[in-house]
Amino acid sequence: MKSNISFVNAYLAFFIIHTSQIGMGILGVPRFVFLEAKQDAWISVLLSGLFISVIILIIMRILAKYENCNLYEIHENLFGRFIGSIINTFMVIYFIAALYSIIIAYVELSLTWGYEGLDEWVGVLALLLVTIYAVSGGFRVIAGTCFLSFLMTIWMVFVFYQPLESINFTRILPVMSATPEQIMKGVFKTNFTMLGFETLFFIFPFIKEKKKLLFFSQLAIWFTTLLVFITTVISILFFSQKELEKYIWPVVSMISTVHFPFLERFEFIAVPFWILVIFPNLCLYLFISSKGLKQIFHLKQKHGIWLISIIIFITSFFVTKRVDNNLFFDQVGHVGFYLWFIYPFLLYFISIIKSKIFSQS
Amino acid sequence: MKKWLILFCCLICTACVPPEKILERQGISTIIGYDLLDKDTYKGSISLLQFDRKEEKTSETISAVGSTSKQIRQRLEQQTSHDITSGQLRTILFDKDISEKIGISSFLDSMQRDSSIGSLIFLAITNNSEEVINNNNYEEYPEMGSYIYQLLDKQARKEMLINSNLHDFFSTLYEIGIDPTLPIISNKKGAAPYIEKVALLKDDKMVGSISLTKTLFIKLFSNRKASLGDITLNIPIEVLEQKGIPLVEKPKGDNFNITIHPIKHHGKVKLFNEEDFYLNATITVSTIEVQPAIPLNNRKSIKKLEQLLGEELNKELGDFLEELRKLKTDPIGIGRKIKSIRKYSNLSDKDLREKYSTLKLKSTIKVEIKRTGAVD
Repeated sequence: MKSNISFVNAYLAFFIIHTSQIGMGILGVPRFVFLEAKQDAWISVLLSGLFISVIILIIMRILAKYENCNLYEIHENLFGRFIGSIINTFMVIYFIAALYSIIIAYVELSLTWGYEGLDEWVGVLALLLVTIYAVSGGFRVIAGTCFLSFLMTIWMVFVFYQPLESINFTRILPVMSATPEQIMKGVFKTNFTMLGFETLFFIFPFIKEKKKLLFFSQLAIWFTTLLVFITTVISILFFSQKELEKYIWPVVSMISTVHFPFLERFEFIAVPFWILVIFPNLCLYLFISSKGLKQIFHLKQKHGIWLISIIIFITSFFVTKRVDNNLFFDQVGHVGFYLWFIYPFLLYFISIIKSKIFSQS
Repeated sequence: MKKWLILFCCLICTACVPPEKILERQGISTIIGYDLLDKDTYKGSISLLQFDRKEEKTSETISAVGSTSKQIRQRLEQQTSHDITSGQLRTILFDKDISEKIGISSFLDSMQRDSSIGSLIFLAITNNSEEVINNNNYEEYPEMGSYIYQLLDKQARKEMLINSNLHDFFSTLYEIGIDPTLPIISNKKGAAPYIEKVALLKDDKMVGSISLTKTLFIKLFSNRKASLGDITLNIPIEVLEQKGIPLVEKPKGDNFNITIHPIKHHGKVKLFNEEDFYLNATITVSTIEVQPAIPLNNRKSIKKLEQLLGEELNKELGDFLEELRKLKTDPIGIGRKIKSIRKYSNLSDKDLREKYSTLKLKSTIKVEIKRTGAVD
């Protein structure tokens, strides 16, 4: 049955997990974490990385128990077809919501930066069509997209050297002035950015060398943590407190001070360019959710892709206001937090208990 | 199916979307100035770049009256057939009345909100911004906006201005414990506008002004990379003699004049204990002009000269700090430094200002003469 699965090398897992983590979140994360943990926001980011590192370990443990299964199949295995399907439906809804949140976040950004007056559905449609095209190509195409997207966008890190010229170190002092509670709230706020590592649950069957997977997935999440850490620290040093609390996309506002002799407003390059950063996210989420539909309803994946795209397209007529979007992102972030930061532990326990019961009987 | 999809993608991905921007139809504003007319009514003037080759004039200035900056802009649109765009906006001018009585931050909200305006535009204060924009003497530049931008940019890059672009202004305005500064542009009939002074602000209101050379002391402690600009000191000959520095030639006047060019500087501010605040700085310089000549080839006299220059600068710094405190403004960021200490990190803006006014400020400036030019 699985003979038609196309395998990829383990090192590609690095690109897949990393690119699915980095997306719209990183543009706004310094602000959200700063609102909670003030100048100690960077500690929250590091803690969040540590936390995810542990979760990756747990996820690998779960996956190792069920060889060559993705999360949907594990659910059916563990809870039976009926309850498993209910949980899977919930997951699919989460992924569709996450997909929509990325799309609308990007469309909103690009409308603010240059396309004011355009209807949201135009942008959503354009993004969806490209994504459908990529996902129709199958998993190998998506893995390639992640790889290319990484190579084509990682140079943007070096653009930060210009804002570095007007930073002020006193802004991060005094260190550790936030209470542990504030720092933990900050960790909670990083989730919208850090989410994406859950793709590991679903790409697992496609990886050739399963033993190397742990190493590459750890590498990916630590690299993401490093990038988010750098952006957070530079944002704290670059903006004064009130400013950072005001900007919706502090990173874009920071990039707006970048200029070259041949290019005065770099952010107008960076914002359209960001499409390459979010593209792997879109592909992966569409792929995963359509895979879920296939599992639950035995729908052809192609039809699943179209169905989800139509749902998202229709939603783009209703949820478009800044305040609504913000609420939507928050909800997706919250659900994502419980689903991927807490739930893996629960799942691990259940699987242990169940295997113990079975081995006894 | 796939072919149709690709075709459709091609159509939608060509970015043929509104708002289209055709160069000839754009009225590109490069400078905008606001003047206070009455309470709550302002006059805004802009200079537009012309792209029509048939026209001989390269720019056009128009003004309108309104109560918010976007209302002014709406009324400006009525007066021109071009679309006014602010993507090339380089400078915003405010007249003295706005900056002294009303404060400029209310105007800047719109600048921050508008994503077409970059963070690198300059802010400046003038006596009457409409007159500055209408001035026709702008050297070889096509219009006033470009001229003033070049003027401010050049000064900020290599001489004695503190960076005053929108980003720097905001980040100092919003930060607790530091106040912004802005250049003052002066306008005389028949001459190009020039930078006259630097305005000191308290929050967003102008409270005083200092000469360009005094900005040295602000940059010394707040920005390690800034260019300090050359420093000229006039020291009475007697002081020189008291110090025991021999003159080589006979002095022509009463003063010993020396101009030094700072190569590197390193300023440190530190709260020593509850009351004492230390400002220490080291400047490495090369001498670029000395009249009358003194021997600069032996260690002893160099050392004495270094000491003398340090003392003179320190005296000036002391006076400068007192002046700042009298105006209750803190452009150096002493308050910010205090706030970065754990004990004081919860102080509010008001508490910090109070603390600032009661602190004992102690300063030392050390001058190191590294080079003496081609001669010694």
